Amino acid sequence: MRLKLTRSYRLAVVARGKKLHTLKVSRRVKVHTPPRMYQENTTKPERIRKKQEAFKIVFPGNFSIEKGLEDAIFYTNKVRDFKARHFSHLFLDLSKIKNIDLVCIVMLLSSVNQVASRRIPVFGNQPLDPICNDIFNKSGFLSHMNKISGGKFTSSDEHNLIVKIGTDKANPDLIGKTNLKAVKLLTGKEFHFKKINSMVGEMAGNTMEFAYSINKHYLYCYNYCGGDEITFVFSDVGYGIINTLNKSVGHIIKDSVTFKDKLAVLSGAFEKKYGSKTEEVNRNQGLPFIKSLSSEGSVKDLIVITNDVYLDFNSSDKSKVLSNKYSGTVYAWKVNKIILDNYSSI
Amino acid sequence: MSINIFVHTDFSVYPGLRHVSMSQSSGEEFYHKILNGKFYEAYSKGEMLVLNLDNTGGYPPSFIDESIGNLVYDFSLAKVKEHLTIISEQEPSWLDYLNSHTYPLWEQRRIEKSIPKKTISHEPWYQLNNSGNVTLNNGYSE
Repeated sequence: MRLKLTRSYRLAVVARGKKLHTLKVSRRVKVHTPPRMYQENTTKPERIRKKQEAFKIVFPGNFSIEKGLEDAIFYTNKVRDFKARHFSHLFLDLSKIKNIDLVCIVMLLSSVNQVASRRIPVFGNQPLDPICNDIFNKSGFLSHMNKISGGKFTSSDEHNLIVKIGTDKANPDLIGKTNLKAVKLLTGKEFHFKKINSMVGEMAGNTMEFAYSINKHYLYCYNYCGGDEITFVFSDVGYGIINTLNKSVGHIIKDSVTFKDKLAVLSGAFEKKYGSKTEEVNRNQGLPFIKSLSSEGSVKDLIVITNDVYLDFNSSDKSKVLSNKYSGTVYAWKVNKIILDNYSSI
Repeated sequence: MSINIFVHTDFSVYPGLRHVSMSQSSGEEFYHKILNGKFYEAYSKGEMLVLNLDNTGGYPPSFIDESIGNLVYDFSLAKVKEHLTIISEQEPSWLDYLNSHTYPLWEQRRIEKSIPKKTISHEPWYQLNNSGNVTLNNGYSE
């Protein structure tokens, strides 16, 4: 299509800087040009042909925080950022995965939820490796998916549960009831482990305030594979902790003089060295509270992945700055039977 | 004589986060629906308000901070200590938290007139004014 200057348009050009408002509004007139000829008339243009195809993401062998955290972040970001401009749907090829864990499964589900909220269909397969396949099936991931044949995957396995604990607002009832189930699995008794309810509440609080305003959602899950301990994962998609800190000018100068890396900044946030972006004096209590539960032994093996930092509260050697940036925050921790027995006897 | 609030029966077994905008059963909601009115009742009768925190599923610190902090902001720390007793036998650490954190910071906010954030509009609530009288507040003007 070409644009041809019409009479009124030319008038506007001539009269520029004068009384333009007295002139007619410029009009654009379509001039019909013959359609372009394709090299082969039988072949559809590339963009139309692609539009009917899936965009396939092939996941690497290591999809776990221990063996492949960088890859896991890279691929979950790739899923989250998928735009359906040229493809009809997204296909997740998980068949080659040889190492998988709950944290990465939850990160993936967060990203899939982001894509699905943009009304893009997501399809996928499962790991071929029998151990990974078992972990994947038991994780509760599939209970958030639809079958291609129609209907939802159902899970009657109470040992594993992934719940969406909020979209616009956190749902403390759901957090509490999910934790009740987890406690019963380990101890056989149903009682409130208040500390974990409080901790997850604070995690949700932070993310409610600072998660993306569009497509907000928060995933919370536990996974019990027998034995004496249970794993919990909390995940959100948002700006991440580091981007929500309010650093004073003094802190910024001091941190740059001492070449303080992001790992030290994140550790500082859990020690209340920085304020919250809300700038209210009584804020940023949640992160120190979360750390205090780890320090006093109410939870064990607490880790956090946020922005480009992996922070292990047990081991500073394992903590590191990452090459890939995760948009959001993931916490994982464990609770064992000893912790719960001690708690219930108080 | 005393007036009692049992959070688990009068409000929720699972108290939520700081603000109404971010959570169900929030500290902001608890303050405006229950705590402010009951405290005023106790204050005006010269009685004690007994707030029992036990038997819930646990509290996020922000719930405690927002609800009781607003009470300090509206009535002053001196009046709150005079008319409020908090029972937390199952989690005594909340009493330490209030004494070391919420009370001093919210009293500071009150003195500095750093207006608390309200995420929805509320029915008018009771507040002690500068001349020592209780008035109904229709909302803070910034």
